[in-house]
Amino acid sequence: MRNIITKTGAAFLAASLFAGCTAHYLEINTNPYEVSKEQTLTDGYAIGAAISALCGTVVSTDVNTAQFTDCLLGGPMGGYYSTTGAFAKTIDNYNPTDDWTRVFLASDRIIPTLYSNLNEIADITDDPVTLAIAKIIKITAMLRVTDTYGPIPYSKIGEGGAIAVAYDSQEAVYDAMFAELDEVISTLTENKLSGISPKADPIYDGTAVKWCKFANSLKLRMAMRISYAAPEKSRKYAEEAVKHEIGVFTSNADNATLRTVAFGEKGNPLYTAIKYNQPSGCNTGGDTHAAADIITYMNGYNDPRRPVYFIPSEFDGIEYVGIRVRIEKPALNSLGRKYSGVNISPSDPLVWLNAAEVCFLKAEAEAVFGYDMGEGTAEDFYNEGIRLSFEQFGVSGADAYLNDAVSRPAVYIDPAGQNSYSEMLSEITVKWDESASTAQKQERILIQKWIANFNNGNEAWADHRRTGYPHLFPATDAGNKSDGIVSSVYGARRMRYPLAEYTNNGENVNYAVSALLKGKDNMATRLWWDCNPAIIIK
Amino acid sequence: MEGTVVTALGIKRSEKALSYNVQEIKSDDLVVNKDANFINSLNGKVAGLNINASSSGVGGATKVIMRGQKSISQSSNALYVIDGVPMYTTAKEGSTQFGSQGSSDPIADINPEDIESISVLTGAAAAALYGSDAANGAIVVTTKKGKEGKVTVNATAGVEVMTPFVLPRFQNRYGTGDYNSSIGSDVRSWGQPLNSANNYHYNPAKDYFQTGVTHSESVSVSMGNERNQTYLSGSAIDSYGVVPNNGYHRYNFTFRNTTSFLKDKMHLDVGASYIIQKDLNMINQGTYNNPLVGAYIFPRGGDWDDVRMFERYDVTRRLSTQYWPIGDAGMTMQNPYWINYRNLRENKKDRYMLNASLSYDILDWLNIAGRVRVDNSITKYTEKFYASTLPQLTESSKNGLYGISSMKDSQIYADVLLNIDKRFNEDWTLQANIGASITDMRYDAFKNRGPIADGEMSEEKPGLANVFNVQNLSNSQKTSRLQEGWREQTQSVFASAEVGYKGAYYLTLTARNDWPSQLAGPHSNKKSFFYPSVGASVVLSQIIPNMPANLEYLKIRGSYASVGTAFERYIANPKYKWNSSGLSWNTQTQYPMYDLKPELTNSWEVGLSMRFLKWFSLEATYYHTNTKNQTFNPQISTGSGSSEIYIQSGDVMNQGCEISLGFGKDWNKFRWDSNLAFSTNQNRIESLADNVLNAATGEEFSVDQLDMNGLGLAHFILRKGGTLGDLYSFADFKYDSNGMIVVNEDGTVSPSMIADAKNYVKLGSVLPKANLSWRNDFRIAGFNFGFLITARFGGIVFSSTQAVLDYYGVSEASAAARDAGGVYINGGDRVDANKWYSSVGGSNPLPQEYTYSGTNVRLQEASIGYTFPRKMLGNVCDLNLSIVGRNLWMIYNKAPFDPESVATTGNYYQGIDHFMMPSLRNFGFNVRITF
Repeated sequence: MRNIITKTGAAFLAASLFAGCTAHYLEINTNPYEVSKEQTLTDGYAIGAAISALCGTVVSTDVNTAQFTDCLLGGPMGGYYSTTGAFAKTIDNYNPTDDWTRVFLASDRIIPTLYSNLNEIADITDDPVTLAIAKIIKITAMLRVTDTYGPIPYSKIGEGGAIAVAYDSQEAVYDAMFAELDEVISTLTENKLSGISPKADPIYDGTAVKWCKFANSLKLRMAMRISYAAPEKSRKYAEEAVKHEIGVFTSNADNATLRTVAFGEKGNPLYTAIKYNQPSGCNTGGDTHAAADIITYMNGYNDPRRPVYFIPSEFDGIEYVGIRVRIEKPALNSLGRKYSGVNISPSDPLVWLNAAEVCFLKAEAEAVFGYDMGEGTAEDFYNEGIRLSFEQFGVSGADAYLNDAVSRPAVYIDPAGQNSYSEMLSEITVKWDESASTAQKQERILIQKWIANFNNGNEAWADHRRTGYPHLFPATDAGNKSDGIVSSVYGARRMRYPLAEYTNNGENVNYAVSALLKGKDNMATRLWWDCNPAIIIK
Repeated sequence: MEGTVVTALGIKRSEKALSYNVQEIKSDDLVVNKDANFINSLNGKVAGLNINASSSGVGGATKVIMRGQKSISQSSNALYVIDGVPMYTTAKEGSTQFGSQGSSDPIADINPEDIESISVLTGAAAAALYGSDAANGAIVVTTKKGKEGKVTVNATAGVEVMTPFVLPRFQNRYGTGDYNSSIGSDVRSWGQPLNSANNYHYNPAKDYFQTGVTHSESVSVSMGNERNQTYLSGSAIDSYGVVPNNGYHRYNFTFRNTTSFLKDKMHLDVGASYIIQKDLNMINQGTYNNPLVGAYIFPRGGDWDDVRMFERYDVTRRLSTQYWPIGDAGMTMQNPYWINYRNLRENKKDRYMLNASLSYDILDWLNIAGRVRVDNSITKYTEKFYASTLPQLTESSKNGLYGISSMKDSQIYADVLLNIDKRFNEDWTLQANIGASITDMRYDAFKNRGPIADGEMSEEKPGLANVFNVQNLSNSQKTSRLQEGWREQTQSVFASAEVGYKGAYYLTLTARNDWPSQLAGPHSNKKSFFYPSVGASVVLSQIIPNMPANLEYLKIRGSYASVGTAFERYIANPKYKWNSSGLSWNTQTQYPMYDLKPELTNSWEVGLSMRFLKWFSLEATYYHTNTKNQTFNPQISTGSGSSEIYIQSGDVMNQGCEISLGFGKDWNKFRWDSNLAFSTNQNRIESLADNVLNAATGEEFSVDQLDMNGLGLAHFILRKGGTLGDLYSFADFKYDSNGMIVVNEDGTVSPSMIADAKNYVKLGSVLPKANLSWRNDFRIAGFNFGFLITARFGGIVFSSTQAVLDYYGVSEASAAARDAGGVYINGGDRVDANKWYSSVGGSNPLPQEYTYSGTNVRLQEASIGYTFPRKMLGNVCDLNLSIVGRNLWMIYNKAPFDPESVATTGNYYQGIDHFMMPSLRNFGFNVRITF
């Protein structure tokens, strides 16, 4: 009996012992297909990965995110793209659902990715150049966010681990961004001969001076954005940027271009998103086609960039014809597919800011607002902008183009007969005319800037809101489904805040709407910088 | 009169001593009307067991819920236990939204013929000994073993035909077109009425669906002597579904041997099973690669025979390409036959299970046993999309797409157990177990998937169309290479003791401590957790002297149990993830959270069992559970710099009752058994997160609602006081001051988004309020006849299928509205039918218009059989012939689909129909011979 009790006791003890062996648990609870922080530090991998992730938050390298922000929002609002997928509710028709409009502010691919990687970089390094680069990317990305909604959380994001964070007015966001840009510009100027590992930087191969040029150019872009809202600051920042010792972009080699190496599995996200739902046997595109607006202007100007920008239409005898944006859309498979497509290849890089835009910014600053843009006249800047754009797209014939004083934007004849528009959107020709009115000069510059910025819809939309140029086709009665909220002529001025903000950050978003946005949280309320006295929306 | 029941760890317990609800089902009840997935055969047979069959068809993963949904983010599905050893389900949830990949479940691999009996333990009390997973209840399966005596051979064969059970109602009297559009339409059916000259009378039920067939064969041999018994079986199931080229095949081989030696003191039980399972094109729902989209929407002016020839030879390409002039309608619609034959998705699984147990009777009251079980399976999943499949589905390639995944699942379980079963004197009994167990589960997968280069979708030279292997895949980033896997281990010690007094009073205590690997990591400060239970039962009929004569047996019982559950693996030890949209290892975007703690379910139940008036029996249970400290990760404002945060809070309550009333009586050669099972459950969220302290900042925060997603504008939103099944609509009509729907000048209505989350329109809860089933079996001489009626009461379902059919004008509702001159709203305002359905229907419909009551009543099963007496067959064998049917008659149902069918076993997609495969009506004929 005793023997038996000893034996069983021993057996039970053994059982308890094996139950205590949990020393290897940490190993078991470690995902074998993920890596530790220590591993990421090998060969400076972590910095490169974090910068690459940051770059993926501007025009998101995630296809679905980029589709929402650029193909379904910026593209159509800027007059470049038209949404042709079979969607019941679209931004084109001003009746989007929350999941379409919330993306800039709510997606984990933008702000959370941005800030987690900023923290990551700050945690690994105190190299001033690396930190400055990270900050420039942050501003590039967040500028798109504030220009979509107006007031956003910015200065307090992630502060002290707080979960519910207050919004900043848009003016405060801009002020903060200018201050940050000034800071990085001076850092990069001090370190202009240094840089970071070329492999860690998919934009400029780690060259500090190029980043500094980008920061100045971005500062110029932002300065012009507030030309009506804060004229003094606008002039100050614009002139500072241009006159800075490193200065702004002057050639296409300066362009802020995200190269293919930073892309994900799907390659260029815009390419993939545009091709979503492309019908069998069709190559014009799927969810997105080229807008009538841009093609009508470029057809009128016989613009030689068209073959680079667009895929020919499937209509017999019509090479380039776009589909209007704010209309009742036809079915993709029968009619929608026939319109010209957007010509992007999976291995095209993503251009954030190009030298042509900088020239047009300078031209506008000089011609319209009288800022001192240094050496050169508005005409010089304008012509240089066109030349640089032609060069960027590898198209010849810039000189003939910019001397064309005859061609005007075409009228839009819809080959399907539904949505023709008999009036010309503009009388403006390409050739610079020094004797033209200020308004005409501004329109001329913005039309060419718009053409040069193709695919950067959010920037075009911002310009359109700020200046009213270029004139875009209005929404048809059937196409405007906003129930009278959004003007058919002037279009959407912003996007609604994500509904989730009202539940997760209610107090702050309600305060932002009432005290900072100073208007209803809808698509018609104008942003702080959207105050051009010439634009009167009834 | 007094039975024993198999409970935890395969331990047999006297029914009297049980302090919790256990219901037993015998093998006969399962095999008479057997389903390839035997779990479906339990439907309606146990009070409190809610079974939702999968829309994936034969062999699909079944959703099994007992006593309500308990957890916000973890599975509430029941645990399966085979011969005392848990079989953790690693079933992949079926696709939701766009995706259409159905899923099977490891438990569905079991050969129903190998099952001896099943006990269903609906509560957590019974399961304290199985560990955390049993907090949701357990289905305990005992398999057959060899029997002493002469050799018995059992052979069965059956054939079953299947047809769709509930389909939407279609129209075919209005043709292709769109009378409201000046450009018409070649995909919608809002055109002219068809006449005899141009009506092809297309009807999906007749022209597309086919009759499915399942045939099954099995043979088993049982033999043995006093010392050694052997059981061998083999079975085959081959099933061909109701859509073309869909199949499920399974072959099972089982061996089991039980031996006693050392003077009958040592017992060795070894078993092995080998399973080969294949399925082709198992589709559950969705729009990608789902043939139903095209089959349902096909414009009614068209000739189906034209598209039946789904591919045409392309002379220039020298291959056959898809023929589908209708287009994709923005829903990735393709020719249904092309999907069936040219978008092939196949699973092939090899699985083996080995088990051994050795026990030694140290004394007549003391026994020690050890068990080990290994369960490994290797699954190969391939996708072959032929050239000219919609580019949306082939990563833009014109040359097709190929994917191959190899997945390996392994589970090892081992335990040792010391059992005491002693009677001390006349009055006292003690049954106790002390044990320790280890469970180790691993999953590892290697996945390769990508387009075949076509010279356009990437800058590389084209690959060869329709050649499906890895070397032919595109070399661009579009070809994904992925390894994934995980491991979990739990070590446990546990003990239970049951003290009985005079065979009338019983007290049961259990205790368990778990060390789960999920708790390891810098974000967790607990390494293990402990949970106890206590239960008591009193057999009143034995202790009260003057019980009425008509009350033969009366027992009352009560128990309390607490069950801990570990949170998900890896959240205590976060790492850098692979980011496929940047092809780099990146930090995560969750808000960092420390001090994670396990989830806890506290439950109590009381019940009574009685037998009375000779023929009646009653089991009744009332239960109440609270599941607390739930770990979930709500989205937070990105102003925090993070996307979501893990919080541990929340309390979900479930309470309800389970009643089953039985009757059984013999009249000479005639016997009638009848059983009524009723259960009801109330689910309530007591709290989500009220003033949870963020340890990092000292900031308190609350979550007043959680959006768990759903479909389109219908989302599951969890709020305090609501249920885990509350479905809300994000949109509504515009109403005027009189509460009338605003009709616009152009005659349309325009549902719009609701701005304030507080005003979302509650559609209802998808959870049933109550379930009822009534089963009857009659036997006279060799004949038996049985039927089972099941009913579900309460709850809602949402059909986006109907909304799409209405939009395209192919539903009967849309035709009826046209016949009636329009849709009448506001008590008389007429809205043009096309405008109405274009506004409220479509692929993103107004959910209010497509929400239906989930209440339904059906004739779930019926069977009639005859057993030829052995004598009649020259004493050679028993022969039983039966005709069976399942889902025979939908007696009451207001929804356009079967509300009991689910696309996935996940929590937040139940009740949603998005081109779900129809549930099946089965008729079968079975032969069973026993030598």
